[in-house]
Amino acid sequence: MIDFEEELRKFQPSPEVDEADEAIYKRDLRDVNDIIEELLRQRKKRRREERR
Amino acid sequence: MKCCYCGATLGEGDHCPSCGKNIYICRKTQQISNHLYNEALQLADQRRLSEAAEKLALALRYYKSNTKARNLQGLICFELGEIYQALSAWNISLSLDRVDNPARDYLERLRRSAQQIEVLDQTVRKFNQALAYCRQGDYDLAEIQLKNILENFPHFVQALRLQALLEMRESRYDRAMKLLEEANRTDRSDQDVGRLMAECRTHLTKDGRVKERDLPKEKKKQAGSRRPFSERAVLGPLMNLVFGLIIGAAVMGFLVIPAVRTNTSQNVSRTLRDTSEALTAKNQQIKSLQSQNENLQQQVKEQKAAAKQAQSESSDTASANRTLLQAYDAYADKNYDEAGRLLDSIDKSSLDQDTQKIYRKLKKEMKSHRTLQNQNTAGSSTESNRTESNGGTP
Repeated sequence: MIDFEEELRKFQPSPEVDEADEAIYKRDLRDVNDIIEELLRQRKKRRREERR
Repeated sequence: MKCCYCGATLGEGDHCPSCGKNIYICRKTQQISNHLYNEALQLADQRRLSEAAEKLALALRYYKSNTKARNLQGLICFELGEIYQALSAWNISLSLDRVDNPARDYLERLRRSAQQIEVLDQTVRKFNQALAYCRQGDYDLAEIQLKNILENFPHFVQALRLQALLEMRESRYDRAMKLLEEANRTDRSDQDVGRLMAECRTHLTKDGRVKERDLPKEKKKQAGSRRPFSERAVLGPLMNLVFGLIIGAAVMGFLVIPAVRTNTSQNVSRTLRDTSEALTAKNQQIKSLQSQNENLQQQVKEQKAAAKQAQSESSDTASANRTLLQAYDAYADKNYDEAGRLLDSIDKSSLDQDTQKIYRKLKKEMKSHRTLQNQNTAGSSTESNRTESNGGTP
């Protein structure tokens, strides 16, 4: 049996068109490459600190 | 395939020929992203748009510069009515690759028609408003708003789903089913739509009608009062006709005809009464008009008499003024006798206030002149008497 109120809660207001430009800049555009690169950078940094 | 670090075209080795970095991971992620894009393309061909959108989101997580995936994501979002996401996807795609990018064409086509963007924007706003109405409990207003949206944008899956939900709330499962089928034609993989359709099916008969137990109360009553067509056909229409004729004739004989007769006589007497009342009223009106006429004639007579009197008064005043002027003229010519005669002939009451002043002044002067003249006359007679008594010498 469908619960109307529960179903209604699943709907979210749609973002409006004039908000699109602003949202593009805020969007997280990192991909797997960026994440791996970041991890590698942190690892190198840690090693350098350990050597010191 | 391009290098993730410098954007150079990659060869077969594990290092970029341009920047020299290890591109093993970069190559792998791009391969996975392309694979996911291909899967999404197949799903989109089958109109399983939600699943395709999920695959594309994953593809872009592996390789953000996959512009093909971004463009397809934009198209799918646009088809589902998610304008904001579509514009975002195409704009990002264009910023990543400006050469031969179809996203430019999509965006330009939209921007060229400012009216279309306005309509799309309005559609999104209306949807949000409809959602707000639903949350406030104003379901009628929400339905009106959703109908407006679907007239302009019949593939807006979210709007179709919300409208269907409202129909289901009112137990109108047949209508809800139609809306959900429309949503399903646009996106066959929307799980929420599928779930709602399954729910609707449990309340519908095989021919798509709402089952009697699920009908709203008013409809149940209507449905209950109707007999099936076959039963009605068997009841013997001929018998009904005969009964109908007999009852009709009886009603005509006992009720209608006497009623019509009574009604006619009542109408005639009512008309007579009305006419006599109207005649009396008219007579009274004529009488009052006659008396008014007499009054008015009397007033006219009085006015005429007053006018005549005023005219005679004014002519008297004019003749008195004229005589006064003549008297003044005679006085000026030292014709005192004539002036005196004319002044005496003036009726003082006919003069107005200003001319009365002149009259009095002239009269006064005439009087003083007469006195002087009398004195002179008396003086000259005394002198002549004295001369006579002195023997003729002065």
